[in-house]
Amino acid sequence: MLKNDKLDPRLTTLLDELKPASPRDSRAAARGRARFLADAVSARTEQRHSIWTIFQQKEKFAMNLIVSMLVIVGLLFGGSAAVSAAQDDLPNEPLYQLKLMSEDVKLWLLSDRVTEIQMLMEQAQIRTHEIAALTSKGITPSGDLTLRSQERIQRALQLAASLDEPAQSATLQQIRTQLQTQELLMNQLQDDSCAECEPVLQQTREMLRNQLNQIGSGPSAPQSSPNQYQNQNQIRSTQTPLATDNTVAPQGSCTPALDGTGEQNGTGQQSGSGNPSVRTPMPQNNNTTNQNGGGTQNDNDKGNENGPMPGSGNENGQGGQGGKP
Amino acid sequence: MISEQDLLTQARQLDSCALAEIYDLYSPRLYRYAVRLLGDPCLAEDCVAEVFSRFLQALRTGRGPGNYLQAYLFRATHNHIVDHYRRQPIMQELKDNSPDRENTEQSADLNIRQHRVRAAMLELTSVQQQVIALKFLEGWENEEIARGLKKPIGAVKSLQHRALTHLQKILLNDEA
Repeated sequence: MLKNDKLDPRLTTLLDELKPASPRDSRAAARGRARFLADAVSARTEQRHSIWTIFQQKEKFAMNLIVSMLVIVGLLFGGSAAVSAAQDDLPNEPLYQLKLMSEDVKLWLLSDRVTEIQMLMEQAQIRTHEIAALTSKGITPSGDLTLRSQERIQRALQLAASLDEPAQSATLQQIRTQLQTQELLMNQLQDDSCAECEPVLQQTREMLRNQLNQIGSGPSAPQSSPNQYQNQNQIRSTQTPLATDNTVAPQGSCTPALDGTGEQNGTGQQSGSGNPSVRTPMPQNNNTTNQNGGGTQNDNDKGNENGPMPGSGNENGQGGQGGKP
Repeated sequence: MISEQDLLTQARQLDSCALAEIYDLYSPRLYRYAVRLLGDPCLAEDCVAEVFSRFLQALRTGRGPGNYLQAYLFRATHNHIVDHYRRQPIMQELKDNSPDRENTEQSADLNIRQHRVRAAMLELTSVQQQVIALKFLEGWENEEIARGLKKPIGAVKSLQHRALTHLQKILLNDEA
């Protein structure tokens, strides 16, 4: 036993008997060394290759964040060359989506309603100019441009409706002026544009005209009341007008049928079956003739099926007062 | 000669020269340690290969030894040996291998005694086994053992004392 930390010599002898180790086989040792070094070399190679992989995978989230931040910063400050370059792009060009994104971000960053309205109208005007630019190049513009423009104008009108009275009148006046400018531009394209472009152009004209009708002839017009824009917006999203009901009496907010006959759908907020976004605005007075000249009304109407214009008349003459409720 | 710390630093970058030097420096010692406790050169060679393979894997994944490379490698070797004995008890090995290994009576006796000691050591805890093996087979000082096991010297001495007492009880009582 262990006494005074002295090791029993018999135990020492037994432990010492483990010490002699059979000599190592040199070939086995060499094989082990070669295998270890080969593994080391391949590990080093893999490590080199995996640097980028690690960067891609492990840091993917961080990279996404950084990229997103860079894009946002670029969009915010307009410092990015790509964002700047995209501002002149047309819908058929590669950076156009970037342009749309930058517009959304710009809007999102605005807190002042008046500034936001200005921005919205500016963007609507850009869409109109894009339509004009494409038409002048002989390219048929997409109906999406009209829809985007309309969406911006509608948002601007809704925001304007929420303003206090003096500001509201001034803002509506500005909107009206801008819409008239856009409408003028569209009308100028009437003669020069290509035949394929005409439906979209007509649709845009109708849309602009109806937006002008919504605003009315002056800032104090009854159509410019806040509730009207809000109600119209609700109608657009919910109503499904009946296209076959010929017996509905004309109402202030009725919408013509799709077939261009001038028959009213009896829209209002009561009934309807059909997407308002594909209805064609028609004169409220059930007149089946085109006031711009006979015979073209139906064609124009067919080409304008994307124009949601509830509660508005369709007079191709200037002023657009006939469709007001 | 390059220090262990420098070798380790270069090894972390998977430097082939450093890794080769580490292998040349430590593999003979690890082999000797393994063959003493396993009693089989082939098993010992496999053990060394496995330890270095794990070492390489640890380096690749950014783990591996902190400061003491030698202690890390011996610990890994010992763990491998313990695992081996868990999978394959020593008495089985004694029965199978001893008669075929040595033909002479003297060698056979030595082999049997060695197996007895190994079997006795396996009754110790893993840390006690390491302390006894490093101290009495490898000739390490208590300070080195303490550093390698990351324990205070007092704890190492205590482990050593309890391990020797236990070994004496097993081996010398058997003899008596």
